Amino acid sequence: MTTQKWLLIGGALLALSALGNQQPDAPASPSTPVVVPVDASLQSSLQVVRQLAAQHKEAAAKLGPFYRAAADVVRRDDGKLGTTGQFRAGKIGADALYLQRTPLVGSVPGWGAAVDAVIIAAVGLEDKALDATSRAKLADALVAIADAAEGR
Amino acid sequence: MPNIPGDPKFSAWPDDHNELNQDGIVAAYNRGFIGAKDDPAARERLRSESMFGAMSDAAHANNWADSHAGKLVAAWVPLVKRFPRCLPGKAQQRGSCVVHSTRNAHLLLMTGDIVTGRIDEKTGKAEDWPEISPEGEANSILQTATWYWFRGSNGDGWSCSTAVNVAKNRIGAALCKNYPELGVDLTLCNGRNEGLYGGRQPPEAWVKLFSAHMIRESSYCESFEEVRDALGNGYGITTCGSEGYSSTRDENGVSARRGSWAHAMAFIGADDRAETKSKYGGPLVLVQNSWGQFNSGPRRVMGTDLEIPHGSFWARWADVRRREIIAISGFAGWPRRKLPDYGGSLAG
Repeated sequence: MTTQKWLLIGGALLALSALGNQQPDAPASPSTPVVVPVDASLQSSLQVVRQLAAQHKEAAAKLGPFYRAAADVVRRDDGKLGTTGQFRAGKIGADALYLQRTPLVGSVPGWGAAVDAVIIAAVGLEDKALDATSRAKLADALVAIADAAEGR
Repeated sequence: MPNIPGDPKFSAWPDDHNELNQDGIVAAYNRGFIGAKDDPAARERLRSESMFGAMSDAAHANNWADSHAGKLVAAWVPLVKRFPRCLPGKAQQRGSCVVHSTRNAHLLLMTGDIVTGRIDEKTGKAEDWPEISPEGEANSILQTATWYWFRGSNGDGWSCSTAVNVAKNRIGAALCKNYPELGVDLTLCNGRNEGLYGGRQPPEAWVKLFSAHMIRESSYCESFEEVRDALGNGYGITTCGSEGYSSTRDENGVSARRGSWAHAMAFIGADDRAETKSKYGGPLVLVQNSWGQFNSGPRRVMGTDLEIPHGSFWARWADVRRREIIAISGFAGWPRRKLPDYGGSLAG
């Protein structure tokens, strides 16, 4: 099976099971670039993601949609991802479902730590409730990761 | 009215040293020791001081009435997965069943807060399992003594309503561990620690330290539906009553009524499945006793791979419905520790 097919399956699992609550009429991820205002404190963390993406363009481009979909799920979530800890658990599960047994495993050394640094810069490491403000910050950070991965 | 002995005088505890082994405890209750007494004034006070005196009102206000209709509510499972040795814990050594039931209700409430990710209403933070030693886990994590110190006498036996009132207003839960700053080791839930105070109250410094982990609300349950939904939504339930039960379980872990115990026991599960009601003529509740492994028989939950804890048994709702049943909520637990990371990525 091709990498593309695995990614499609992984993407479906991501939407259906890992981060949950997909609405039947949910909007698809935007196909055109969206300019997202990003907190200045994220920029240095994002720079590492951009550098990794530049070094591994093909793999990083395939990782980008994962984070864009995750941002979409976080924005639409009605409480299943109620805390940063629950988001962490969901992200770990979704990441595994998306990538396991694909050639993307290990394709961008340092990627996980770099992405985590962006998320930490956005919402910190305290296990706390995702209120409207922190939820928006988290979603924005995920979109910024997606943009960086796709070289935007 | 709850079916609890109304005699205001406690039966004499049958041991001068206030500590009995498991056989002695069972024999004492079978002989008529009154560990759980009725206190209508305490019940009325607790009800009037609660936001929702009736659990059904809380359920409707929070939009979870009938949320677990027709379901098996296995509320004990996350707790025993995390702390396999905490239930049944050590058998009570004196007539302190009320605080053992109160403690077990706190354990279920703490579990509900953690697994649902419920945010503490005052701190705004999620809560986590406390750090506890293996010996503390074997003593059921939370110390029974703190509440018992406020029973108002050096004797034994208490009322569920008064114990919950104390847990709400006087002193909170304490971990089973050593407290060198107070010069007291509370690792063991035993008769000695429970008897440190009673007729007189503990020092103010003790009360202050142990007031960090109190509950904030309570409601009375009078129907199976209230019990089922309260447990399903992560509340803890303590009960007082006079029904005794067989010390053997049937093939599905169900025990029949036998004898009379003036006793307090926590409810830690509910079974409202159609097949259960068909087999037993109605729904069941899972009762956690505080006499160690006092009973025997299968522990497998009908139709599942789950097991009920040692020292527990399923009881027909029809057999327990007259008990005084109090659901507790709003436990000020232990704050969740910082996340180590966000899990990285398989990508690298």
